[in-house]
Amino acid sequence: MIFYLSIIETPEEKSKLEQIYLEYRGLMFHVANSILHNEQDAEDAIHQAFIKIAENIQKIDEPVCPKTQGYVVTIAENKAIDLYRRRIKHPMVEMDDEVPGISFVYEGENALTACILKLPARYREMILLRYHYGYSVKEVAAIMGISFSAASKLDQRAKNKLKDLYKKEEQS
Amino acid sequence: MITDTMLSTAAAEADQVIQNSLPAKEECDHHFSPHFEGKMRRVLLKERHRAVYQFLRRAACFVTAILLVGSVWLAVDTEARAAFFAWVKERYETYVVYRFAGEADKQANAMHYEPAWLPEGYEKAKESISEAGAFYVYQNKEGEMISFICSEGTDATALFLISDDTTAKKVSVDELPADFYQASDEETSNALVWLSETGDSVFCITAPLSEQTLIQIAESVKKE
Repeated sequence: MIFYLSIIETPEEKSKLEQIYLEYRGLMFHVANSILHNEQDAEDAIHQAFIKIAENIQKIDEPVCPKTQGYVVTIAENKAIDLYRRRIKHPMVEMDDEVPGISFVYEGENALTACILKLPARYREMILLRYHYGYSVKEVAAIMGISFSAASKLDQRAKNKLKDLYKKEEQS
Repeated sequence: MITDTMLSTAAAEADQVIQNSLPAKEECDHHFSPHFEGKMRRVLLKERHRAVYQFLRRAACFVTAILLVGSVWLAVDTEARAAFFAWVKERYETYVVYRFAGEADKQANAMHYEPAWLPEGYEKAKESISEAGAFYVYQNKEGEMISFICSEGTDATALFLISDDTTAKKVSVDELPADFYQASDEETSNALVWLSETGDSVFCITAPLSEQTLIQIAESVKKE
């Protein structure tokens, strides 16, 4: 028999998830509430966001850093938009288009950056998660809580929309 | 033509624009509801236990039970600290956690328990006593071991028990309800877990011994 028993004492050590929670929950709430305009709904969205962050915590190296902040804000926005869509209960609203996300202004000169920022929130989130945060389509599917097939379609549609916008931008 | 490099560079810049548009996190003060804090405590606990489980499973040796100590999960929820005062059993897919939350009775913490009876041939091989509790390992000449853990309600202490290869059964220790975990193979330790009559202490014995023998050891446990 191989047997080992130990007492682990880690009174000061916080889990990676708890560090993220303590550091960014306020900011994430701000993002969710700016979309939902309802504090209780915003808390529900943040709760959902943290469940997804926990499920994918191994992908986060540094719990408190600008990249993690961007990532958790993206997840918070995504979950807030999910909840927004469920709350309005409008089956005819196109899933990926025209749902308001974070507001921002871009004054830079990179046309492709400008096009990414013009994308509907859901498309933008896909592009950021895939090409900035380095997640695979399968991983994004898990984060967004959608099937692999739906994530693949979303990825393709996001890229197609981006190409169209970029083409127009170049022509103008 | 949009290359992956262009996309990656532009995506990084877009992300920066979004971050710059947000207020500083220090300015985003919100008083979260107790309902939200409660739900988040469960998320944080689950993540902590998942990490412990993975750590133990990666370990080169087989680990049956450990005592976790720390105020980590309640640090985020001070209201919960006052609301709980008990050992709570939480069963997950592959492990069981007996968790104590609440203010510890400092008087009780000064006392420790130990089995007064063991099967023949076992002698104490290891002893560790801390504020969180005590654990002892007894070993016979064949190298077989019995472990005994007791914890008397230190704030946010947890007994973590791997249970994916075991069958759980309700038994009694001196008429107190207890959980017996029968391992699926003889080389793996069985475990017996029970609480004191007042509910403020948890006990755990692990050994590759029968249910009856573990109960006999458990019924001999006395305060030192």
